[in-house]
Amino acid sequence: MAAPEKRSQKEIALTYGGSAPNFTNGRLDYFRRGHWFRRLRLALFIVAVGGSIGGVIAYSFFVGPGARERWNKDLQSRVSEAVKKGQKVAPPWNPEELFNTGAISENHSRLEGGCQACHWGSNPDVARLIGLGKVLDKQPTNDAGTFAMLGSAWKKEGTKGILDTYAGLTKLQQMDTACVACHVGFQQLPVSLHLPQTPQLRLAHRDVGFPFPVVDAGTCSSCHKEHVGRHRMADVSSETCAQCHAKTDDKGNVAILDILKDPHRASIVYPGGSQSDAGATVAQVGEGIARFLVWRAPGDTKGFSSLWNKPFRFYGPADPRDKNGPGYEGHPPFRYELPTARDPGRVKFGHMQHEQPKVMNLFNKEFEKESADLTGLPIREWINKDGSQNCLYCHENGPDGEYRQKMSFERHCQNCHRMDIVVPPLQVGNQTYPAPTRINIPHRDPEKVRAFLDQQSLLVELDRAALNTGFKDPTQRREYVVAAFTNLKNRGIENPLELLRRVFYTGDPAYESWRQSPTTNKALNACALCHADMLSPQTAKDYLDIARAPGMAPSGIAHRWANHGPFTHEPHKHMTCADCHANNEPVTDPRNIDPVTKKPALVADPSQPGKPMTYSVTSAHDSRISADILMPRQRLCAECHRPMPNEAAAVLAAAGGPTGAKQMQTQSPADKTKWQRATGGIKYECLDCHKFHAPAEALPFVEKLDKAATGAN
Amino acid sequence: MKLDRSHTPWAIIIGVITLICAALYFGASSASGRIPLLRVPLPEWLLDSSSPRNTVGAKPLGLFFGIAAFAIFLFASALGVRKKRRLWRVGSVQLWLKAHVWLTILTIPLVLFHCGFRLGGMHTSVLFWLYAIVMVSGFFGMAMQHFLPHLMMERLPREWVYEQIPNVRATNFERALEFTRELDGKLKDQPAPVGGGTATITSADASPRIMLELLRGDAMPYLADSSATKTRLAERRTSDEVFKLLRVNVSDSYRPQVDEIKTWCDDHRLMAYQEKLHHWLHAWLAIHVPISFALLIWTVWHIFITFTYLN
Repeated sequence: MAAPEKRSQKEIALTYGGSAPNFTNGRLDYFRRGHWFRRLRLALFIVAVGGSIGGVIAYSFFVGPGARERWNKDLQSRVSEAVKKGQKVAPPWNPEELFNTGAISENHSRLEGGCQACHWGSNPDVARLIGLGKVLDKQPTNDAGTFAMLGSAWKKEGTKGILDTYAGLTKLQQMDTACVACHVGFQQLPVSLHLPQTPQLRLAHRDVGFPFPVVDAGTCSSCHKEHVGRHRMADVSSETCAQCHAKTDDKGNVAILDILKDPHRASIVYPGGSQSDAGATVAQVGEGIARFLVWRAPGDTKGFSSLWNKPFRFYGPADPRDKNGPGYEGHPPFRYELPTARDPGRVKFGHMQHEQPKVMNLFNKEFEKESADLTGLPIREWINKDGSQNCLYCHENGPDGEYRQKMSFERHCQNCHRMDIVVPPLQVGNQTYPAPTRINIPHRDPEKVRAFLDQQSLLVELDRAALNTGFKDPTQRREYVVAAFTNLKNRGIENPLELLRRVFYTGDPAYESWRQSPTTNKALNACALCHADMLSPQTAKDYLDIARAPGMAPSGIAHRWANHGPFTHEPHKHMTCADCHANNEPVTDPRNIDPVTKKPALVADPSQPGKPMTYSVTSAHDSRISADILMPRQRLCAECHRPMPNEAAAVLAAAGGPTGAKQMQTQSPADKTKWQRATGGIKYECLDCHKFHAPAEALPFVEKLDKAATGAN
Repeated sequence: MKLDRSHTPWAIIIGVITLICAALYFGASSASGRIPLLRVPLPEWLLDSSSPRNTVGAKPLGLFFGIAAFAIFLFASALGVRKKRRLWRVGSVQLWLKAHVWLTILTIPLVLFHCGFRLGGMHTSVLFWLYAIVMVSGFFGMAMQHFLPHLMMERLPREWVYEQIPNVRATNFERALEFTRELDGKLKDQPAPVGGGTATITSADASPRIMLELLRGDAMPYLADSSATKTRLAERRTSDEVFKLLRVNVSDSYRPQVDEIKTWCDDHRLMAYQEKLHHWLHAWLAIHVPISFALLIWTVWHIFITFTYLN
């Protein structure tokens, strides 16, 4: 073999190949013939493009909207035919699953295999539709919505009417019909009612008037989103509510916010009439809980200053940097913030008086002296270690720790305000009665008290007291009873009427060294001390009929002040009572940090300067009368219950606040409160407090709503 | 295409456009209708939510994102045409390629903002997964194009036209076969060995025999195997040692032939390696290009079906 000689590039190229069929054989157009790799690419390209076109055509023909239209027409004709002949329609193959826009939620997972449970289309579930028609019997007829149409069609023409009406609905309306047909059967919801006052309505009584804002808020799917994942259906977000409630008109005012301000948008019904007293009251309703209520007439904004006239606010100004901006965005104030609102409670009480040092010292002294006598009373701290009054002495937790319990005379008042008729130690002849006798008047309704103060009852009580002191001899006991009565007569209690007057109205002046009240210097406190405004007749001179006890009006003490949301004290345990109920911090306008002022409601002169507004409507520390509302303003709540702004972390860091999770955990309750107020971010969604749909209990009111909304009598 | 500094302006521009799109999208999604952080209100017409199905893509902004993504799809698919028509004065192919890469990267936020981070139903899911395959294969191809040319430069001292590799292999094999026949002939022409007692005396050159042994035992099977994995010659170091030994054992006149056989074997090994790298470098196109066209077809169908039936 010869040594390889040097060849040109062309000669080398010409050597490519050989005698085999695919070789170049000296031809340089080898590149024109496809390599297997190129051929593979071409083949894949053809397959992909051809497959796509085929897929698209197949999709269009077998699955797509065109196919659906054909099926729907076919189904419609089959259903019509079957309805005419009274035959059953066999369920067709369900093509809808191919249109499934996402996984179905956990709530509806049992319907996963049957899209037609919700997507009836032109083939409705007739049985459910008829069931719905029966329920819709109570639907307000003034409503021009889907369900009113279905309801009236059912009433007029029965099954045929409701089927025809259903066929005329849009796809969305048909889907809503399927939703409601299923849900109404179980939950008895009055459909399409938007009732933000649901908790009040739930407890409504026919004799109690409530404003019922009724709004047709569109379709189910306006708020409830399905096919967005396998998890539970998400609660309706605040953004959804804001779709309506945050819309502004041309002037930048919120268009649909406070329904009460816009009667044209809602049917507002006062069962008591449109001229209902727009004040505050307590309604003792179905569940036995007295709820604080303030209502306004439709469109009435009286009492709200111009600054407060922006319906939703207190998340802060729309743009804090804009000093001349439109002001606040957020939530309206609570109704008890209306300047005209008063605590309707009738029991006379002043928190301030009970926090005076002398009262607290007196109490401690009395408590030490008398606690041994008051068996059954739990030992509780009247004063905290730091010298402040312990609110929880009276405002006790319930078993669940969530709600404060009702006041009890026996537990909370009796220590100081005892209701005893006291007979001092007596000397009768040679016999000494060394111990005072206390006749404990029961803290019950006046009629029971009157019965207890009957002369025979007193005789028995005094006799029993003598027996307990150790006098076995009936003669001696009788002598004691006579002496005790003589003592009472000497003190001016000469007849049963006078005794009743003293017990109910005037009290018994201190007798010798005997006094029961450390503050009033009386031997016997009258009922009128606390219940003066509740007694009828109101004065002792008008009480003349011994055969009848004075009337006593209900106390009017509210058990619940916050009625919209499920407020409880439990999640607020890290705060002190004073943080909310005695908060004297001035409210400032976040745009300019100027204090916000309010004018007293009862002062007519508008030129008078207002007083600085504080976070509590009235501080419990300053409250002298029971009419004061000691609740926190919505603005204070909104400091924590607001969306956490993006700059919260920077605010925290700048203020030296906790920056890590560990620091957050180890902070003191006071610090926690402080930082929560600084940053917000605690539950703030609309649905955390407000409910949308009316409960089953609302059904009896629907007819009434209907009449009022249409102006019928 | 190597990702070098010339891509920096593209990356910056695409990044800025992505940020603008994100600001618009999240602004339109927020309840306030304002761009987050900047608090700039968006015009009402962008926030219109009156689409029948209330999907993000049907809203004005979503529609804008969708249209922009589709326009980029069309432009990206035109790259193939531009490569075929190299003489067109519509910017260099290099520029087209850069635009292809970066604009298609921009489609990621556009598509996500168009669909609102949801797959939707079967129709849109198919569309999305086609898009995902195209993008993933594209990124894979980009990585290959970035790293492999450098690797080939370093490890392949000689390169062949890829399509011609089988021909070159066949040529080498034929030459080796011819050489084997030649050596066979020489062996036959040599005198027979003379024997006496226990000794055998031969005056013939042993080189042809030794070379034939190597050719038949190792080289020919090696050259016949396109994967170049069989026999000890597949390993470069072993091969070098074998040929070094062979060169020592043959006479001077046969050494150039030994070198040539070694070259055939080395070329054979390099060609196998080149093929391997070539497949890595270009195989993704076998997925990328067809699925891209499938995506284009489904997108056109998506537009048609959306505007025809859902309005």
